[in-house]
Amino acid sequence: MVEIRDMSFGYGRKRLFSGLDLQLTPGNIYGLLGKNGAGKTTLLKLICGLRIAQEGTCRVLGFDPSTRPAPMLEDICFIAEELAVPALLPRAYESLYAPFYPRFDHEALASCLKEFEIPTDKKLSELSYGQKKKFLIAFGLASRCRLLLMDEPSNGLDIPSKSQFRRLLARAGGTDQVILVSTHQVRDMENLIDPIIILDEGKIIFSQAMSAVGARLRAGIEPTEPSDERVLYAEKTLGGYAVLRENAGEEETTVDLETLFNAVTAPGSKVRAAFERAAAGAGASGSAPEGGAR
Amino acid sequence: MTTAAFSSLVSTRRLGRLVLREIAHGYRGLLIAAAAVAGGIIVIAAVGALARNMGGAPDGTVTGDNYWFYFQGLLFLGGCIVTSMAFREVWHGGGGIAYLTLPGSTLEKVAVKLILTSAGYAAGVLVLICATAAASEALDRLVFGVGHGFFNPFTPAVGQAVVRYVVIQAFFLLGSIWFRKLSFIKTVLSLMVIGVCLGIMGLIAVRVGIAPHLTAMGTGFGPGNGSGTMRFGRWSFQMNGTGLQDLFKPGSRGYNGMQAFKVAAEAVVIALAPASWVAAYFRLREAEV
Repeated sequence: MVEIRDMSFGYGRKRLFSGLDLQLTPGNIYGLLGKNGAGKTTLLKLICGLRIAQEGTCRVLGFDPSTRPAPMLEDICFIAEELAVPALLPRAYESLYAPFYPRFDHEALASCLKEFEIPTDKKLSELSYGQKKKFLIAFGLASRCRLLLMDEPSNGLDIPSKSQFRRLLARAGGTDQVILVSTHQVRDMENLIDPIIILDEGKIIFSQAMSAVGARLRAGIEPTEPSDERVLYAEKTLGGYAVLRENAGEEETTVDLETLFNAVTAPGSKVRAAFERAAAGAGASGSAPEGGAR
Repeated sequence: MTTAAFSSLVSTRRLGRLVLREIAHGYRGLLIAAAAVAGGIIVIAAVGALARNMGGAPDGTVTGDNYWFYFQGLLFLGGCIVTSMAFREVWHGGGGIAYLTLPGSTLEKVAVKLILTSAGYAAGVLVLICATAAASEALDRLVFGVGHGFFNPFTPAVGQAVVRYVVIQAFFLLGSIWFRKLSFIKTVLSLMVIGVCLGIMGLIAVRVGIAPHLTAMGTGFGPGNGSGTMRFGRWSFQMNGTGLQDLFKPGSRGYNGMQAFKVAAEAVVIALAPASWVAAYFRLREAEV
């Protein structure tokens, strides 16, 4: 559905991406993680044609996104962090914008708006930032677009809205849909985004399904700093040390996303090296890496 | 071009939706502006009628078509300002993201903005001025017994003004997508700079082309120094012994040449309108936010 090969992009003389490869397959809710300035928003914009790649190829739903063809846009919904809503009632917005999306589900919108408790008698421009965001998320989910891009969707949402959002997103992901969520709020997205894509210094440094992460890594909290050679990463937390060890065929554990992100982006990351070794081994034996994204 | 490729480029359904969207977004502001303009015209016309009435004008006096002035002002100045705001949303953060990802081809988006700000706006101004003139005339004649004359939209002058507007607004449409902020002022300044540059180039061309034939130019000679010398204040000009006014009098070669130049210049300006539409299309196509 999304295929990026050897793509380069930069702002002015500053190179942001160089030789970026990415492949997204339907039926997944991808989590796009990265430090500030890593290029998460830019990558989303490149995918939906708001930025134009300088080198390499990018195909989205079979189209070149840089030309922004109408049939492609009918199947893409981008919920940006910067919101812009017109001074219209939600019903007027729906009747004006829903016809642009051939698969729009009006019942789904009504149900999402009800769950998010969006007032329908107030103009969108008069709603709070969080309410505007919830409305646009509801509209995006109801559009039934095959590619749904979300940039920091949980920013600005209150605590109940975050749970509502998680519920709705989990329900929405169809087998023919790709949902790509860029976020810093990994705790809000835990158990929802899978596979995980981590972007750092213009490259995708990690792209794995959570099942692969669980099979390869063993997570735990230990009271003292571990020093054995199986330790791939350890960081001090409130209850002791969060530790990641190589899983030697033991029972799978749930790996905390924040710890995983820190472990992968740490200089000279042993976690990354472990996955690269595994990928090289799988490559040598002829099987493809897991997760659908490279 | 295959049918599928063409329908991905232009679809009447999408065009209709885009038009509806534009109207829904802009109608409130335009209605308020139209009401303010209509109110202003009615008040000014009423004050004028009152003054004439007090000045002793007999009942039933009609003082000529003063709505033509408002029509031109609203059409050219108002239209160029409205056109300059056509693509404002593209450069407004989240607005640009929403607009550029709106399902519609770039051609459709430019076509809709163009139609609404050119023919659509001109039609709106005509309706507004006709309605305002009718209301104002009815009021002034009833209350003061003095009128200004109704506005007739079916004159050749109105048609010519609309055509001129469509040509001029094309530059402002391009300016609205080209400049991120203050596009009206920047377009006006750009046109002025282009005009000055063309003027300088023209002067240089005239200087280079005419100088060898200019047989007399100065302040110290008059009619006695050559027949039909053209004078500009203290300055007098002759080309090959003939005064400039003789060279360019109706029926002369110079006059015909000037007429041909005028027609060619108008054709170039008219041709620049579609060129501006095409440039606006490419600018929007390459817009990144």
